[in-house]
Amino acid sequence: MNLGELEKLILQHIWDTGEVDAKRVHAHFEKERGGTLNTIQSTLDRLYKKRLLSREKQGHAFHYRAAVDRSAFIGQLITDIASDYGSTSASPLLAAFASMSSDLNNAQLDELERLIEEKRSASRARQTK
Amino acid sequence: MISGHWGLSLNILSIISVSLCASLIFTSAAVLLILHSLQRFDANAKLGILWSVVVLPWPISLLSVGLLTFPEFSQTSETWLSSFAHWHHIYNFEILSWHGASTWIFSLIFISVCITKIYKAFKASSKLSQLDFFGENTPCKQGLIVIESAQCQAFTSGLVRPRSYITSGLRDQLTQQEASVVAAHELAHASTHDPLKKYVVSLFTAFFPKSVGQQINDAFSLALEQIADQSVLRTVNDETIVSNTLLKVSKLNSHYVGELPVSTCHFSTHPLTLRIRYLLSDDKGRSFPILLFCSFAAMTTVLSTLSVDLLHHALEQLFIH
Repeated sequence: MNLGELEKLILQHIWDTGEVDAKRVHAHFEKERGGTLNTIQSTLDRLYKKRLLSREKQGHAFHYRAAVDRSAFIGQLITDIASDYGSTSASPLLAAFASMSSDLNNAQLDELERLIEEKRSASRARQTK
Repeated sequence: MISGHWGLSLNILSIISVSLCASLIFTSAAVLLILHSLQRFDANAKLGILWSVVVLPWPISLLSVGLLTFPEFSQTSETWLSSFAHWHHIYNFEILSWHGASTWIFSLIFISVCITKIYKAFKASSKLSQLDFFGENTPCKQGLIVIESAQCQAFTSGLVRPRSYITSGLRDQLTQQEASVVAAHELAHASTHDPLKKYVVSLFTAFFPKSVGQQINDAFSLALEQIADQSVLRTVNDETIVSNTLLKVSKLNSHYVGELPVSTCHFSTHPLTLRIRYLLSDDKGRSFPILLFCSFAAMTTVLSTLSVDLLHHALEQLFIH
């Protein structure tokens, strides 16, 4: 999911402060960024349509809160970056320390542990000679 | 009919497309034959072989252009080369012919592959900038950027300016020494611009049949990992510590609980197994087989050029274009 600069700032702001309405968001960003209430309203609406915010009508105004918490969002970002956008193979744009897929069984892991232990014992034996 | 220099350019494009197709077929067949023997070579040699294999069809197709058009340009068109392979009417190009069809199909595939790859690179870069923005990322003393997340991951990404990341979830479960191993490994990827290399190779492999391309990408990725693993030994001079860290991070990555699904990757042996075996082995394997590669390149050039000539004559014989 692509997020614009203002969308990122507003999402961050909502994670930091909790429930807000468009007026409060506008008041927060007016000094540092400028912009109109209309821009804030449409950005909040876009974030709602992207399912990152939930909203509830209170009186005449919508009150927005985060629909996804920060850690879940970051977790999804890492998964997206690691995978090739839906395919099962690893992304050609990333080098990961260890495979990001769970595809080794217990027997294979035990075999690897045995190999490492053998090598360690052989090295120790060489050193004591 | 298009004549003159435009006709010449389109004929050259037509030769490139047919020759590229032929050399991709020959190279793919060779890849399928040699892929399982790749483990006999050291990681740098593997990387060299895979780079050469993916790039090779392109210079071959250009060489075919030279071989097929040379008789037309030479003063005496009756040369030994013209009896071997030639291309008639080099200055005339018929759009509604098989030349036209091959040129358009090639151009369409080429443009769509480039657009798809650029789009993916753009999306990945956008995700990475989101991660930088939201992750509350802080540099740690090992030189990696720490992402505040419960996941257990460490990776390097970024085409132009590669950055190495580690999640706080992984960092908190590693000892000081293990963290140094992960950092040295990831920083090795960043210093050699491995994400960019992987991206360029995936660009070339996109023209291969899908399964062959995927196997080349996997083998290339494995070779890069093995080189990065080796470079860790400059910091932590003990293969068993590096291997143990690899195993531990893999287990943490996959939330190792009970029996896991069997490997679904293309290698008969899992990449992690191959990496650990490579780290622990005293004999790293053979170096780049220059003679074998040159012979293969020469043979593929001849076969691809002949294929273009044969196809050209066969189609003209059957359909008169």
